[in-house]
Amino acid sequence: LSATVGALAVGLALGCYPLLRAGTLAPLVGALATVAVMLLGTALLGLVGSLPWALGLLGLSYAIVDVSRGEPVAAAPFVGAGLLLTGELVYAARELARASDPKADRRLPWLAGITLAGLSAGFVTVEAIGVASPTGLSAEILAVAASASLLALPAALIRTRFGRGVNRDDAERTVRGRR
Amino acid sequence: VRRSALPKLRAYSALAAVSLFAAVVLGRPELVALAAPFALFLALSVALLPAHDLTVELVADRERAIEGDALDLGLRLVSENGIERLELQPSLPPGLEHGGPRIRVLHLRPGSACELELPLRCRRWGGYALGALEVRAFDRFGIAVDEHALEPSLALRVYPSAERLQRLVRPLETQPYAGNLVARTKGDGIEFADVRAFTPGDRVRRVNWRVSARRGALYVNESHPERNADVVLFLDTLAEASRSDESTLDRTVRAAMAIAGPYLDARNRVGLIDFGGMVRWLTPASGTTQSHRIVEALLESQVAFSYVWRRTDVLPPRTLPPQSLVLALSPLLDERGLDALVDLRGRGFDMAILDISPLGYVGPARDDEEELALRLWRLSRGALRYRYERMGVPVVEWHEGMPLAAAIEEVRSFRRHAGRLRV
Repeated sequence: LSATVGALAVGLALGCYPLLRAGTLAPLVGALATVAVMLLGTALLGLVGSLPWALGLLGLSYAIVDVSRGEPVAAAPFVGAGLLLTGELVYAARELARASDPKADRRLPWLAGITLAGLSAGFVTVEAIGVASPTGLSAEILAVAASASLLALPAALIRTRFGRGVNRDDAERTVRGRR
Repeated sequence: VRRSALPKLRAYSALAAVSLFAAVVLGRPELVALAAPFALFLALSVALLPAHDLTVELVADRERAIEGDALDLGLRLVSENGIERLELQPSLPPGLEHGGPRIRVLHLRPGSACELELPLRCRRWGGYALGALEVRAFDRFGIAVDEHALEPSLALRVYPSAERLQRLVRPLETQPYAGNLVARTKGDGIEFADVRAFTPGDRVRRVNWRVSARRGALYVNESHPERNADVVLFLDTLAEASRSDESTLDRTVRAAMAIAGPYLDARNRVGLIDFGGMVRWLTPASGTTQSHRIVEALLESQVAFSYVWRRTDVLPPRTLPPQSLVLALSPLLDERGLDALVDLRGRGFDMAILDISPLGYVGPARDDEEELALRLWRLSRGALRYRYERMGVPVVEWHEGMPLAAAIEEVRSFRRHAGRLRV
């Protein structure tokens, strides 16, 4: 229950923050935030497939305000870490609803660590913005290359781990049932 | 072992990719800051994805149980690398149910063994294969799962819970072997039968001196010998009426268990005929071995649907010895079973029918037509019972919730008052 309440609280906070700073865009941002919170609710009720859409809409509402109003850059790491925390809380709530975990308390420091790590990653990015960088076409190419490399690492790792499955020897070594 | 990615991996990947793409398109570095936590999470989770190593040992605390019993399925789990979150879900056959939560969650430390007991409850009799277990090992980040299904390998036999009967239907005829029943014939025994004139060869100890003195000639006592009897349990498994939790077959098997035991304890020979889609039989015999045979045969009982029109001539003659008591346990639903019972009576067997009433399995009538159909069905069942009673066969309706002893007592009462009727 605490995971559910926590997810809803963080989700509401992430929905309210851009709404408060939206100005004339308040109806649009408000509608997006409302839909996002509703999707979050359905995810917590068991339809976990709606969680990415909820997080995406919360991020979109922030992005709309950011693009139109010019939000302070320092807010972005908090929003990013908040989105990650919301996602983790929703998944934790669903796992605990599916099967009770006798050591559920262990999740608390784990969630705190994940959030702090996410926050740090966001601030590292923000700090990197301050570094003087080339402008023009070269900057665009550098940005694209950076983005591609950032995505390439997890993509390559996913391909290695999941793409070819697990061979028979690994499988036998991994889980053995012996009666 | 099947490793698969969880939805979280796809969701976070999509969010990170969309944010980074939007950051590049819109030229907003803040969106990179939004994506950074997800990208870092993904990179760490995939880089640190463990190779799970798990050994599972299963043991049941016993191989035999009685309906309603609780037993524990013991599990010993060892993982060399440790598992952050391990889900265990035993797949139980329909007659068994979980005594605790369906899914158990564990954390295994590297190298340490974890022992736990999964409580089970035996809901229905039968032979079961235990040990089917679904094992899911999750990584710390919750992005992938290793799934493995263990095949069942432990055998469990759940015996029906039988009512203890104090009195049984007494067979009309006995067999030549020693037993606990007082035979109708005269011979060596304890129970006094009659007095007759002395004939050469009679033992002196059997002379009734009082009668001899009164009559002025020697008279001897006659007695009834103690003999055993042959009892054949005839199970009609051609059709059944059932609910989700119970059926007429369940009650038939329980009744057969309850009846067979005391007859065997009294040194009688007991046989079994499972007259269903697949006909099975046990020739009458006595003793503990026969008791085990009957129990094992009853556990295999099932209603096998068949269109084959069976008659009792498919049964070997040895399964129905002459002068045996045939106790039929039938829901009286299938014409083939009804004909078989008439046929047995026609062959002169001493019979009694325990009607395992299917009426309790019929829901209430929803309209007048259903009410009428139900009444007609009840009347036709009554007419059927009357038909058997006219043949000298007591038919007792055994309702759900009614003690079996009461039904047996009804049979005894019928036979006491009706006397013996030969066909």
